[in-house]
Amino acid sequence: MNKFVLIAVGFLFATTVYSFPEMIRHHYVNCGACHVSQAGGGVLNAYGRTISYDVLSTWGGEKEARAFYAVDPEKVGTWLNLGGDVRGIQVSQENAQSKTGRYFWMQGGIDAAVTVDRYTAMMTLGQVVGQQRESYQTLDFVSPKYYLSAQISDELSVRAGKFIPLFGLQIPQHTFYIKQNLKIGEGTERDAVEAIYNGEQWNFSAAVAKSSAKSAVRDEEKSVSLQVLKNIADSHKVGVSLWNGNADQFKRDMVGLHTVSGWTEKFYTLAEIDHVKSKSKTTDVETKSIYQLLKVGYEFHKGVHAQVVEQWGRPDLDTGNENQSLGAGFVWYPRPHFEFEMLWAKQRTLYVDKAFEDYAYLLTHFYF
Amino acid sequence: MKAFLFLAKTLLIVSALAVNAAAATDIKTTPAQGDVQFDAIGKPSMIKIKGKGEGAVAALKVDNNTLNGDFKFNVDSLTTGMGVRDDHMKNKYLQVKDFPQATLTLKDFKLPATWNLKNAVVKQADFSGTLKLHGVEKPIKGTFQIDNEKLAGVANFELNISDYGIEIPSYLGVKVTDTVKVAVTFTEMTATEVASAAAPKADVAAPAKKKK
Repeated sequence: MNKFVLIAVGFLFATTVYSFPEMIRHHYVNCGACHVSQAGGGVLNAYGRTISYDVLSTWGGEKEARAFYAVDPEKVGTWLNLGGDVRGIQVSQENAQSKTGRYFWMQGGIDAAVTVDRYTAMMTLGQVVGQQRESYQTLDFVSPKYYLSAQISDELSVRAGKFIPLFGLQIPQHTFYIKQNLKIGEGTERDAVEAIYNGEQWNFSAAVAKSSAKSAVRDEEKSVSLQVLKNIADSHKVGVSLWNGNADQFKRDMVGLHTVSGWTEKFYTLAEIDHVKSKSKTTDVETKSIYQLLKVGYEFHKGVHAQVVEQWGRPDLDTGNENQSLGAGFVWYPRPHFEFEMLWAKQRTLYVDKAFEDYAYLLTHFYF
Repeated sequence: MKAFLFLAKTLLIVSALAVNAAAATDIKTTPAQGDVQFDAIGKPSMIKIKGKGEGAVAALKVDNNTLNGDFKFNVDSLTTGMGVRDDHMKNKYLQVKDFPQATLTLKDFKLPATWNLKNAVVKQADFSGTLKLHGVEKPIKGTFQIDNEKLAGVANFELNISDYGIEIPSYLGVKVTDTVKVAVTFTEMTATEVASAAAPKADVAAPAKKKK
């Protein structure tokens, strides 16, 4: 397969997309304001298209923000929402032993959602095949994410299909400790049924799910999860997430606390801390872990954000091993459909090397 | 002797009038001395729509411990942080070119008996009056309070926009709820003591009673 074909098919890769919880600084307290899914992420609804140029981006206009630059919701109606994403990342890592750099696709694909009355069917087509550390990636024409949802009332919805149940912050950075180590990030979509209540002051979600051994979980984990969120002054949210999982090779309980705060219309913070208690069924060894994230952002010009990201993790509380990361960078939404994010961090894993290494990435995201 | 008594009574009445004349207070504000905010909700997804505009221009009068007057507000100054929404709100729904001003009128709001400019705090209490919006005037009820001697305070009330002939805003699947919460806030107000416009007979008689 030549390079041209690889690039062409690369646009059909797909995995999970998340929403931007920092939009709470503009009082968008629920992700469903901009996304078809009440859980957030995935294809934008018509209102979200407007937000993408009027609030999110530095420049842009109504026509430019349309799905595929063409679909006019005023003419087509709000029953059909199309979209999709291509997300790639350039990563560089340097320490005393090595210096590496690579580019790889994180996601890409086409989303389609059809709403009839109170029912919505959503499907993503295309999935990345091949781990990021492999020298190449290919695609698979399957649907990594799909669901049928029913909007029972303005507040209550139920969906069934294949997706990741709500737990913690809904953010796209799946390599953050709070996503990577909890096996609930990219590639862990699972068969699930989820009920979501998005009220004026409270949000609740409850889900039962079963993962596939072919997914990034690499086991059939049956799980029950709950999330409760409280809206404070329409600019802050505090949430508790619970997860109980039982797989062939392990069982685990996770508890997470997270906050999303819009301190002003420009200054915001995201924070999460998770405790994981897991037990291997093969060795009978129990491990307790803690992972934490703090992201501080400031939009100093419309669509241009400075960010500081701090992470900390203890993969096993019975040992002295510790992961630490502190970085700074920017996020820029120049026009509708485009997002760039850069982070340069000093990080270390104590059991590997006490010295800090440099880690940097530049993420490019195009959403149709 | 009769002439003397008549003169004494007249002097008492005049002095009583003078005392009551000093008891009236005019209270005014400029747009810079506060703001007007509203909270609305867009459904589904409970989008919190927060609007903010310049301060209302108050023209109030305290007379006989009763507050009356109105707050006039420039509706065109409202913004919500989203250009498209502001455009629709002002031009399609509030029609600010035809109805540029909203007026909240307070009627007979009773102040505490001890109220004066040095003891100006008024705990939150119910008010009634009228609100003229979009060319429609309707009775309105809410709460009013004064927080300090600078006369910082707030009037809070809720309105149903459909009562004022305003179409319920709807845009690309998001529909605004009918009820909107409004807060008319002042960081300070300017007070001037003036002659009472019409001193009630009871007040005129009060000093005479004291004389007994």
